[in-house]
Amino acid sequence: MSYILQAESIVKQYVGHRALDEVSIAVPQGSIFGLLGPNGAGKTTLIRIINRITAPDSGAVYFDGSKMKANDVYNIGYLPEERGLYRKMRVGEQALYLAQLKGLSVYEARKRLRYWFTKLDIMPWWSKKVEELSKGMAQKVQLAVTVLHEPKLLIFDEPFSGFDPINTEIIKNEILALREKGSTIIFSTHNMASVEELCDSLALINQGHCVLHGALSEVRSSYGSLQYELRYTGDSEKLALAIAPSFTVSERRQESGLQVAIVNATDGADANLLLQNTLKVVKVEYFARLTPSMHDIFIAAVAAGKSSEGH
Amino acid sequence: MNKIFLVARREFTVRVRKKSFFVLTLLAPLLLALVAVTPLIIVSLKSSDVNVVAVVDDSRSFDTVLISSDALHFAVLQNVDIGELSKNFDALGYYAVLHIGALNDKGEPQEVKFYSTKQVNLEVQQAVIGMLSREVERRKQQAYSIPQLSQIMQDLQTNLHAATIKWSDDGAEQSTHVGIAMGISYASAFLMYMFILIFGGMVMRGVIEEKVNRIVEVIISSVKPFQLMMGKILGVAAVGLLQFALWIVLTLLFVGVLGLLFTLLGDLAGGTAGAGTAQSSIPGGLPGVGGLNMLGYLSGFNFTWITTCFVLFFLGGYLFYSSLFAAVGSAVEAESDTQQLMIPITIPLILGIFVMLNTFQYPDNSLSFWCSLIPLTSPMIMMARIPFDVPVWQVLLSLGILYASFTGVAWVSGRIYRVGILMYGKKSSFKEMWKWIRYK
Repeated sequence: MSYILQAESIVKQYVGHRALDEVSIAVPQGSIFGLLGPNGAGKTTLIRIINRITAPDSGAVYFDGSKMKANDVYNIGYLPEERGLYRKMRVGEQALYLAQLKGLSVYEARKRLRYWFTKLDIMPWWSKKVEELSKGMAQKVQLAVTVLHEPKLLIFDEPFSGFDPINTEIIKNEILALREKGSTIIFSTHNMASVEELCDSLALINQGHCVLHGALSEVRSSYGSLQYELRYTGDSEKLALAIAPSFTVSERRQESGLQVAIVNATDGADANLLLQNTLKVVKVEYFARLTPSMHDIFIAAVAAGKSSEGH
Repeated sequence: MNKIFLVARREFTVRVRKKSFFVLTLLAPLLLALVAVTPLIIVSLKSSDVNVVAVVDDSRSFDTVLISSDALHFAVLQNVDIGELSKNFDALGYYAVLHIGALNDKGEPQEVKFYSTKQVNLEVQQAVIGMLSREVERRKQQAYSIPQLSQIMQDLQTNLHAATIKWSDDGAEQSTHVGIAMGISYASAFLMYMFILIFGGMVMRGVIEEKVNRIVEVIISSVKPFQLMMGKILGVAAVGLLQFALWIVLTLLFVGVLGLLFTLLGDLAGGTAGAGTAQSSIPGGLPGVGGLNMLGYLSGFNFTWITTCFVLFFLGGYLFYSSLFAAVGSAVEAESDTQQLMIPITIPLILGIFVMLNTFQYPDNSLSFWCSLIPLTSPMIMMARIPFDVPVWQVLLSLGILYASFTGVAWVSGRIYRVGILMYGKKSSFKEMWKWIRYK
């Protein structure tokens, strides 16, 4: 697999704390990469290092296969989490200015802006002042400016904040369309549902360390203990006895006339064994392996970091 | 470099398009022009009004002494009662009634009184008293019958004037007017102080705006912090220079227009009031003489040189200080947090004003000399010295030091700026800023 961006053993020390400690990530070409982590984990610092806004104390960043050069930032589009516009400037004028700073000519910038503004339905706001825009409108303007120079790598930090569900859907589809066109997207968010929905792979950073890294499916299947959901009719007590000691029932409830049990596997016992034992005592209606949600993984990973901190 | 230009152009166009720029650019020269022209207008208004004073002279000996002038006419009345005059004063149209009482044994009038329905102008009073007392003096001198007394008295009159001549290096003589030089010195140094504060503050507020609104975060991935800072500084500098140029042009224009306007108005007023009398048709004549005199003195100063120096020192001083202002702006999150950090900027500026108060009296002493070379004070102090003719090498040396130290200050400020603009929630202090300078 080729990587558009690789960061190797990045260390960034601030006075009093180490923001990043030997962090390595690899972003596959043409994918959507989730960069996750609690507030203050070091995500923004890492993004700033990728954007060459700050320099790492040690470690290296590779862009498109070779060591990153100053000019590579022209191939990156960055939408920061905290973003603003000049309030007193007109929308179109400001978008043109930002596009020119990215190295586009006025003519090219105007052409592409017209395309994106029409697409995002903000063309009527072209000659309005920024202070008249709603937050969502301003976000759209910023999104348009970020993608305007068609960079190979896009970094979106909380792109959905300030959007209503309809606009969130529009933006989500735009992000997916950008990937279809070949862009790679680094996507930083606290919204785990959208991570599950969009990301191909991810990294989770906690307290300056990269604690999880890999494809979304790998992370999900590797993380946490094996859990199964059983729906059946029959005696719950008998079931519990029949599957012990390799399996334990962690949760039990009734749902629309069926018994529901969440079963945890111990010592890596596999599903066949569970089913064999179960079928002897109850009538199975439904059986599934539970994969942990990103939400759970996130909380578990961060909690693990906390407890290891305690030792 | 191209980025710096883009940033500078935005700063420039946004500021120049503001209403406040337009208003300030127009209003300041208008006020200046009014200040310059008002005295002339006042003089002209006075001269176009003819006041007639009725004279009631009990001794009948001053009839020929009171000589009418453009603005002041005397009408000698005989056999009138002052009480009678007071009854139909308004109908008679006199400005005032002058009553000169009978003479006492010294030959002086016992009383001199003005009667009027309004406050009698001090100038009119002084003119009348002057004429009367000179006449009484003359009569007294005559009474002593000393031969040629008036000649002696005239010889005794002493009136000394000092002229200041300055030797230039080649020995040529040049007459100077110290008062005017002091005025120019004071004005240009003070203007320099104000300009640096106004436009430096503009840079600082711009930086704070970008930081607080998180615009920096968006821009900083495509522009280097140093480019952003320099672009802002240069853009505002262009605004300052444009404003300065417009102020000079507009002030001259307004003075010209107002001067013309008032001459036309004066002619008109003179024409209707004075009807036949030829002498009242030159209202501009009197102030014109004073103006010519002034012009003569002013022509002794090389205004092209002074203006050029002003622009160069303004640019240098502004660049020097605005880099510091930018660094302060980057370190805070609101304008109200700037006070502590502003101290090292404002102290040398205020110090400069104090030194300037010394300089425009002693432009060549060692305090003035050194302060006109040190870049913290040189823009103000050198401007305060230039009207008194400073050797060109000193001006060039001072400019050289100023611009060289600007590059140093810009470098340090750039290092503070690049960290500061992305730093939130940290208490900004000098210690913190020192750390930022040393960051990798």
